[in-house]
Amino acid sequence: MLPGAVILVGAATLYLRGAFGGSATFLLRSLSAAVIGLVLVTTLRIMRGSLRGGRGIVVAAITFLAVGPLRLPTVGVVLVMAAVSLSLHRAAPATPVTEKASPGEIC
Amino acid sequence: MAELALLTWTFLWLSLLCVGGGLGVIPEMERQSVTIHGWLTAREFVDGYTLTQLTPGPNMLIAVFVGYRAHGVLGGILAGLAMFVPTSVLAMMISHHWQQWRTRRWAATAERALIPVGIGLMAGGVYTLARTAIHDTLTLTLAVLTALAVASDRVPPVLAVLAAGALGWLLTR
Repeated sequence: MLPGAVILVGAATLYLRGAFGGSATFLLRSLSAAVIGLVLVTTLRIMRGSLRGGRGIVVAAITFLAVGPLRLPTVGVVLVMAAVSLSLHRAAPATPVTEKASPGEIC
Repeated sequence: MAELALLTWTFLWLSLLCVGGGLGVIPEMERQSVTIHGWLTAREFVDGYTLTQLTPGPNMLIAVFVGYRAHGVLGGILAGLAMFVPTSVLAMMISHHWQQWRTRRWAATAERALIPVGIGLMAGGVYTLARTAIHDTLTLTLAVLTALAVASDRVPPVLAVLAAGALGWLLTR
């Protein structure tokens, strides 16, 4: 992780000093758009492998709307939606999950 | 000094929100860094995220970028440590016991219940980044082309991103 952080600080220094100005701005804008495509596919793949049943889809959709378009504070959203999801899943029978996002996953 | 403490504290509690991975914390990190504290602009945030995707290491190195933008090298170091150290310790502690816990009913229920929340947060992260990064037909097209290329599994993701970047640059310069 340290090499990445050092490289990033180098790139950030160049970026903040305007080295990505001019035509390089267009390159960075294009790369940003491409990164959106990449993270979208990654998210969709995790979604496809992990979401099972209507309850899970509803919880995921409400969580998305709350933190995305509505820009509500994530702490409150997580607390409320985790409680809602727990109560829904406690009542629901277990369904097999192929891919997991464990609660303590390192960022 | 107070500003550095605020920066460190902010990333410390943000790190604990990484349910389901780093992308899930992006909406709150953007809200805190851009809207509440004004450490950088929304455009800089997305550009910083792009730079972290193009450098080795986890995408949560965006914390280092934000810290560096706000308070130089010391800010970058403190934000990075605050982002990674607590979650690493927590993950080590939990993973040590998780295999035995997960056979218990409460743990299995908790795991099943938290997955949809984590996925919703991740989708929110994609939306938050796209809100700034996708602003015209060209950027939308580049995002779609990259998504299709990555989804096909025939093109390495890094190559797809770089090719889309080069294409956009050629078309707009």
